[in-house]
Amino acid sequence: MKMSKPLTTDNLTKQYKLGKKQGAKTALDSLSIEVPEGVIFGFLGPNGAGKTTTIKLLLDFMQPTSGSASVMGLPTSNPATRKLVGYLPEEPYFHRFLKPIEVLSMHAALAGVAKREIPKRASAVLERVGIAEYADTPISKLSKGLTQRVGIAQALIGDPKLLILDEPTSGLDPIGRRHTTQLLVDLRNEGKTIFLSSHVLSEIENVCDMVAVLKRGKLVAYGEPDKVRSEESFVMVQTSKLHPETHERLRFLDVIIEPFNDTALLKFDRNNLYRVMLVLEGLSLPVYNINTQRESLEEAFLRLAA
Amino acid sequence: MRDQVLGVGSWVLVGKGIFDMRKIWVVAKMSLLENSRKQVFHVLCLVMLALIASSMLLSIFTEGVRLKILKDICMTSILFGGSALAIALGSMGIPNDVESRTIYPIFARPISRSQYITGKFLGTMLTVFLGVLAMTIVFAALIASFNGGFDPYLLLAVAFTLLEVCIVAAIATTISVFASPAVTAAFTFMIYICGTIKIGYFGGMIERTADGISKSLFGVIYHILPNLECFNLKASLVHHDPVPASYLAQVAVYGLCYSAFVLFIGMVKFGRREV
Amino acid sequence: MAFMLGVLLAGVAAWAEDGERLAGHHWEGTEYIGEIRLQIGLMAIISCTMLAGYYLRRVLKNRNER
Repeated sequence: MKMSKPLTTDNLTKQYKLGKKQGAKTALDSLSIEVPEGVIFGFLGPNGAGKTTTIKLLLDFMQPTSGSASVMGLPTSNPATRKLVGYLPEEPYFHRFLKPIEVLSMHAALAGVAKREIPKRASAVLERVGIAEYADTPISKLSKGLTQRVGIAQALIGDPKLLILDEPTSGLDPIGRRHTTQLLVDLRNEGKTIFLSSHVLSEIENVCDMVAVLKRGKLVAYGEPDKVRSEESFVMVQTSKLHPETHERLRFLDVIIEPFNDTALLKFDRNNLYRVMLVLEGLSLPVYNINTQRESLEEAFLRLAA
Repeated sequence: MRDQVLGVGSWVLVGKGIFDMRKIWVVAKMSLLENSRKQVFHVLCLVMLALIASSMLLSIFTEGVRLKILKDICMTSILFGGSALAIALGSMGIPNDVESRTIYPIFARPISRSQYITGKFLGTMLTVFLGVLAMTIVFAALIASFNGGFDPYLLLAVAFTLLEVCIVAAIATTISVFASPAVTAAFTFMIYICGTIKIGYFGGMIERTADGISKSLFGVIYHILPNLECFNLKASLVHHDPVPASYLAQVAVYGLCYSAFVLFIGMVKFGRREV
Repeated sequence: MAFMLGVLLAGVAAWAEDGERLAGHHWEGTEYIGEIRLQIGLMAIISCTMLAGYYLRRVLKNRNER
């Protein structure tokens, strides 16, 4: 039997009506992606690219202008799809008078977890996200990072097959971020599919199996991170601190100069290697280190989304 | 459209899976917890309880008149308190959830918008019921202190007042689906007043209006407005006049039908709304 | 203040233009019960029409998709 993909969109388009004179604004333009089972899928894009709109369409918070989306083969308009999904909003808001254990009990009941199983499951999930000791502390007394973790716990409570996470590491300290990233990897290893949008690309790069980059509602890159990053590598040269005049001369050769301790790092296209070396030689500047590097996901993102 | 069907289904197919009482109850419980923490709930309850308790000071009247005035004031207080609570809480529930974005994690669950609205309405009614219960207990204690016994007419009058408040809460919940809390409260209050004077005032006005567009328009508004005065059994409580059971049954059915219908409209409207 | 006055005066005969309408209790006349029955009927008709409209649209949509 052919397994349905956890998440599929087919020419998904959303237009917002602005008024008679202004017409309509296209927030999402013919998005067609497929998220395979058991992967971490990074959904990237600058602010206003249409990431949140896509998530809202996937969760049936709004209806598409055209196109369709499905979760496990079921159209997203079917409420049953949301039994298979765990969702973490960008900034999780809960009633502030509730305690984490109460939030989880409420969401477990809404997710259809059996009544007698709820206390056990809620405790286990709180333990998993590392906030078991705050189970009975009202949310109003929790920090932003801890509230974010309650949000992650809430997304996990229904034991979903697909997790849709909007900025899961925002508001977390470095330890919390590391913990969450590891949690995502563990969940993927357990067979769950994770669809996450994030701006912290350095973290995503290490854990994502697939990425999609949106720019003004349009898909500009889609596939494995390796395929999204530019094939071309660039050269990194470490030299001594540079004079402002040298800066100018090197900038003509499209060299990116970054200070590094008491030295300078020059980053440029490998086609310019000969000319850059000529300049350095002409100025009698030392070369401490030289190597080639491939574009990082963050650099690819900046290039694609610019 | 799916939600419209679920909405109707919720009312029709009881126990067939569509009418999932567990999810509705979770939303209602959350709404009750939230409402019972609101300042407006505490203030209104305290003011009404103080008003009812102050009826003790009616010592200037003779024994019989005093009890009648006491009943009159207390029933008016319960109706006023209940309606004010229904308007205040009903108009805030859904817009607050949308504004504070607490609605997102809830809607990401397998819950239909119809179930959510039903839950919010139930939560509002449960809160109002708590307030009315407190007022009724004080009222019953006052009556008992005057004539030394329990007045069964009191229960009937309060039950029908609750039914009237139920309509007011349903109207507030439905309007709040597409309007801000302030607009909802103002509009619901207007409907409440117009519904109370519907037969006595609007009926006569329409009769006197010359045939034409105005008369047709008034006619449409007249038949849309709820018939709230029929829930007022204050006179029966004060004078112990019996009310025909068949009349009470029809009024009760009407109260439930009108509330359900108004909520149904809200469900249809909310089903299409983007959050 | 207006709210309080409005509610307190809501059930008072002063609102009525003609006294005859409010003569006696509301359960004694036919005005109130007649309007109640009419409104229940209207609500039933509107609900049934909306449901029928929905099912008709769904049937047509399914037929078109096929």
